[in-house]
Amino acid sequence: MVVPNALSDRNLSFPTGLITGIVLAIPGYFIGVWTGNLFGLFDDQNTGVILGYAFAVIGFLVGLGFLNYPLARLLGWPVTAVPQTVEERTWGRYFSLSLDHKVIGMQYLVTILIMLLFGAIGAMLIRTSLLVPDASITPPGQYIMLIGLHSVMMIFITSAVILGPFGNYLVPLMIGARRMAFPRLEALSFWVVPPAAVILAAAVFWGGFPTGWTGYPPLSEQAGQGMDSYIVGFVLIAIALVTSGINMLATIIAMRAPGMTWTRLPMFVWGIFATAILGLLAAPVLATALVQLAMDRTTNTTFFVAANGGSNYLWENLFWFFGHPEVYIFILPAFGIIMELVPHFARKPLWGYRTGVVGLFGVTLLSWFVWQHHLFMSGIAPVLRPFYMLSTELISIPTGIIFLVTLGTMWRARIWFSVPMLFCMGFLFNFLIGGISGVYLSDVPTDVTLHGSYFSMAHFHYTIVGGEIFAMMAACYYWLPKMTGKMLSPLIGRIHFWWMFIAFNSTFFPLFLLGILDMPRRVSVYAANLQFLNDWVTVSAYLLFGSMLLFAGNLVYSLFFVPGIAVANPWHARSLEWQVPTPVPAGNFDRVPLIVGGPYDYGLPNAKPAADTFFFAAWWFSFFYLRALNNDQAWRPQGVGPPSLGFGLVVLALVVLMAGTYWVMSRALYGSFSFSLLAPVSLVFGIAACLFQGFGMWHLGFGLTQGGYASVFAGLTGAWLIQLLGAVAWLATVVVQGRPSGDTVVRPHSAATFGWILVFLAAVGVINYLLLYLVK
Amino acid sequence: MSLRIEPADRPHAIRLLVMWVILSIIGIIAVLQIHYPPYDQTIQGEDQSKTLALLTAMATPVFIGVVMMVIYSAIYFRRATAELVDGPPMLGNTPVQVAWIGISAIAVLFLAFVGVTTLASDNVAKLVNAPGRSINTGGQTGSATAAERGKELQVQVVAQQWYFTYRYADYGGVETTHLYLPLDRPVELHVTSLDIIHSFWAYELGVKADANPGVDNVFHVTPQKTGSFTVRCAELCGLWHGQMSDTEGKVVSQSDFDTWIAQQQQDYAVIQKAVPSYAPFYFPEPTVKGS
Repeated sequence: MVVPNALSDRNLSFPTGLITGIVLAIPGYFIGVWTGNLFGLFDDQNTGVILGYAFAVIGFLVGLGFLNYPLARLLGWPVTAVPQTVEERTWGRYFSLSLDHKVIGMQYLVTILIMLLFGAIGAMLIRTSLLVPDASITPPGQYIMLIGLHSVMMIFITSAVILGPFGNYLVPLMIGARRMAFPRLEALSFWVVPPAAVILAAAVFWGGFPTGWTGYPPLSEQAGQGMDSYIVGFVLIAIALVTSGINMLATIIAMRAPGMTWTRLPMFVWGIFATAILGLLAAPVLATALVQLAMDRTTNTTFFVAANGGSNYLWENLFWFFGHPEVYIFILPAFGIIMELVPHFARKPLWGYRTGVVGLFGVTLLSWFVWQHHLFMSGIAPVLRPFYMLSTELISIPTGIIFLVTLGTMWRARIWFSVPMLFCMGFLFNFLIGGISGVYLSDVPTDVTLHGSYFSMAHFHYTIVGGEIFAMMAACYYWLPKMTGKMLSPLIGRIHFWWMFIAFNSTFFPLFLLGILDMPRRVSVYAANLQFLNDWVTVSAYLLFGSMLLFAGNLVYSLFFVPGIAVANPWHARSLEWQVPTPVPAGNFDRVPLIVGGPYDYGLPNAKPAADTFFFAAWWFSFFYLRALNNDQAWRPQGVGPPSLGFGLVVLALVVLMAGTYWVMSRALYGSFSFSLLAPVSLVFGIAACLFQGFGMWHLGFGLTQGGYASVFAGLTGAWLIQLLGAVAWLATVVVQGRPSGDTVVRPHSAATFGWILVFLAAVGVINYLLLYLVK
Repeated sequence: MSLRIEPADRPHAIRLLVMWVILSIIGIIAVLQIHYPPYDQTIQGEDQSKTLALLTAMATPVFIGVVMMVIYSAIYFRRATAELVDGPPMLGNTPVQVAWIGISAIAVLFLAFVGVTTLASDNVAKLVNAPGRSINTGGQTGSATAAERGKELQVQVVAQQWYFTYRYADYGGVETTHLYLPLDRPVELHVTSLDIIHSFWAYELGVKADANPGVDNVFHVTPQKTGSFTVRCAELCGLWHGQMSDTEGKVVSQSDFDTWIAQQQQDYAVIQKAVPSYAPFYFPEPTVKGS
């Protein structure tokens, strides 16, 4: 039974919400720690800590109410069909699981700003420590802890600082949709971020982690339990990136209002679209690497241990294959904002709309082919360095297009020098320096000196702070009147801009010099002759922090001390999001046709297999990489091998049968074939496959330290088994609720989608077993 | 497709072009006065300095051009009136776009070409050809013997938490705490690690090479000037990463080097017996994992 106008799903027997979430997270943590310590192979508690975090997050999400919908579906209770069509204006909605994209956008904004405060305090402590050339202010242990916390916290923030608040709030408004394609997925993409931040901060209790944001093993395997915070926190951010990526793509592709053609799409939406592609495909690779690191730390596999058939190069490749697209996840939404805002304030059409879109997608495409420029000095494949040098330098062509389009738009314009426009121009200046310094780093001969020095640190702060954060500030001043209903003070805004612009350049430009003058990154001591420059930078950094406080003050002032509501369209802009009233009504638009029948399902969209392919592809890459890198004895010592071939064939056959029966059934849904008959059959096959596979993994016959093959075998089949278990669980719900009665809640659409996922899992299984049994 | 400049564009275009040319020439001359690191202690370092100068010279007109456009727009394309006015509806200009993309493509390909050729020539053993010091012909100008000069000196850099040591393969694998290199002789550095990833950065030599456990990372360098140099670790390697440095690296003449290495062999003779024999890389036991 579907209730069209219900405010929320029918609850479980206990009230769900933020407080329940926190209450359930605590026992979750302890259950995880106890379980982990029960099964953990070593006495170092890593298994316990990782499971503790994981269970705490699960408890938190259940307490928030994420289980309400699937359980209601399973038990045949009424569920919400289209959320947020009813007006609901309470403060409480910001502290609960809301499916309204506007609420989620605001939740994101506040969370990100709070996280930004902590990340910035970390930066201030780092700079304070560098006031003196020795380690007398901060001991080295605390210093590298600060480095790790500041960097990872800032990476979490910058992954979401535009995509989260502005992407979620504005994309539906800009394309004329009443909501996002998958509101529950959207809520999930937000609600994993606060736990990620808390778990990261929890590393303090373990003394932090010593690796910075790159987490290079073997240092990260040597590290204490603080490293587990890094692993779990980053996995949660990867989940946020994948879920919001799927959601943005589906929304932009499928939910544009009639007439919102591709060539009328706002540039900000194009920027989000390109970002979503990168997030969806890059984050699963990171997840694979993190699982491998967690396995190395808990179950004693040897993915990254050179002495036992692994290699730290594997991590460096996987991490940067994620890591470089990741930095474009930071900057592509910023490009979108700049190209979106400049036409509004230049009062001119965008100069070269199609060229601008080509520029965005040129960056998106090229970003997959450049990752080894982070590894020029690593000794990985030196012969490939010219290729990565060229591909990296080629990125400056599409990036140059962004500048061309922006400058062309300002040509002979009537520029309105509002605060957002000031920040756009600040972006152009800062990002120009950031981009040009990137060319220095892409050139191998100059990179010899600059790599790993303060120069590269200055480079990425210029692109991220000077680029992304300046664009985010432009977005705040531009869109907050719509989002909060309050205009930020333009006078304070102007002071804020000039203060921040000068303090920013005064902070980060000297870092280029420090790098050229032989100062490596992440050091707590440095040469005495560099003290003046370092002190200069520290004082400037304090000023930069002060400018952020001024922004916070402006925000508070506008929210609480400015009476009334801002006009609906203060910038006289023509784009769609300004045509709705302020505050934005619950359903966004009165007269846009309601889009019905879209999959608002909890998970399982069509886009999922694409991401999962990259997850398994990273494992397959690990297989071939370690196999090629190590000699036969290190890769697979005598006596280590897969269980018998017949066993593998049985498991495969069962999975193929499971997928096959389900497939026949899902096709038949449209005809008259008996639905309820085949689902249990498929379920039985699935359970049998899981049992066989689990039994096989329990009786491997070799230890996980015995070479790279053993590690890959355990990881690959384990990851596959976990997904298989998920599929079986879903199938069980289908069987339970799949009675072909009048109020069946299984819709043909999601049933067919799930059929695709089963076929995909079976295909992955075939490839896995080909590798493990035949290639070996 | 021909470039057509509208009358309204012409004064702006001419003004910008003239200013850009003048400022760029001044800027290029200015940046070429700078002495770029890693200076000229080695042939490779000198090439890197030249590349750095070239990159800066090429970046200058780009930087000046874009900044000039931004400032120019801020001054001349600012709205003069109090009320909102829309600008002229220009949707784009294909020749300008093609020209912009074409010019940036040419610049990028040129840079990549220079980078690749420099890399290719630096990545092999390189002989000094400075006048009076030629060693290609087997002349008697240097202090090393002809046989020695033709052959690369093989030095292994062994990194561990938190210091570097050096092993000289041609001298019985003797392990020293400072790096000494003879003048005018190509050196083959073999960088490896005993525990985690470090990065061997000899600033004045123009060398940076990651030290990975189980990997023999090879870099070539040819000193052409005597003097001291600094060695640092450039990859975060744990607690004392910042302290992992040594300012007593030296490039010395061949005869001084011979004296020094003989002294080292004598000093470390006892320790040498306990050190494992020279190999491309080493796996110390036990492998430490977890906390």
